[in-house]
Amino acid sequence: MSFFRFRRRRDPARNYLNKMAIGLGAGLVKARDAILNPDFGPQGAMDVLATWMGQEIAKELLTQKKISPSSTSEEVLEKLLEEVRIAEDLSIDFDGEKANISVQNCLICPRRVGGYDLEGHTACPVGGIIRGAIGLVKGKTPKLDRIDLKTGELCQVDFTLSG
Amino acid sequence: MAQSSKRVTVHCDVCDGPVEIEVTHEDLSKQADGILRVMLAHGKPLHAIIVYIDKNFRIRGIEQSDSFQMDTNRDVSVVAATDVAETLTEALGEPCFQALYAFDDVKEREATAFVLDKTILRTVCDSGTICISELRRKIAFLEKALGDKIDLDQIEQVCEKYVREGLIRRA
Repeated sequence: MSFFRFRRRRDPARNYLNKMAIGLGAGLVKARDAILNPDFGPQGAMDVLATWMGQEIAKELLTQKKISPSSTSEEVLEKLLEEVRIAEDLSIDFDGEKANISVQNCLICPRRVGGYDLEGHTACPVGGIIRGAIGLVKGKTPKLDRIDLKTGELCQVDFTLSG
Repeated sequence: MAQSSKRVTVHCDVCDGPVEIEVTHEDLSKQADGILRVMLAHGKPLHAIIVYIDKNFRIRGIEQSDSFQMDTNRDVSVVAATDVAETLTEALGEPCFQALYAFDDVKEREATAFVLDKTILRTVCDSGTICISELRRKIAFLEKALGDKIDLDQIEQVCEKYVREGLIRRA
């Protein structure tokens, strides 16, 4: 017979995983009908779920005072990408209201990192996370102008922050 | 009734009753955008509605006039519907969009597009021609799925993107 007791130590950096799980659970319930629609496909389902995860991460960023409701979209985006390590190499080019994110050596790519055969599909959460996080803080959702995913290579996401 | 025509019943909100019109394939085939606009004057007192009919004889929209005036010094004549409204957008007073491709033709190209954009494009492609308020109604299920409100501006921005990319056009 053995006994194990876990007591949570304060480590705010680890809260993001919990928040992502919360977003995933809430998203699964709220979007269950849409996700079951075969038209959505894996990427569509991931877009929806990642939006919920992005919202929950943004709540945690607000709780930890990494950002505030008056933060600009750029600040939200920078803090989001800093706290949740999406890629080894990630750059953001701002041009007025527009932004271009280049993701290289993605750390959450199911194919490159996870080693799974995606059978020709994509399941990238970057667009959804950004949309969810900025949408929650700013009350306005950014417009995703272009999402060009090349799993395991260089992915580009263009969006307009003023959305 | 000729084989190449069909009687279509529409509901007139002014007299709150059904009104029948006869539409011919020939009239429909002449419309470059696939939408036939019929100005229908009827009832007592005389009033008019504009009926928008697509190539499948489906009613795409009905618009009523706030007032009806007729120049009594002139003979009654048929006025070309295109003289009443050049486009569906103009006629309905809200942006309307028309698909230029079937969704299957552009599905591969849009494989990684965000789900909102892709759903809007699919809905326009499946509808043929659709006004923005109807488009919003059809994608309303995404509001619950995405956990936020999708307003007409967002939808119009996405549609404009696809207009620029040549996948749909303003109707």
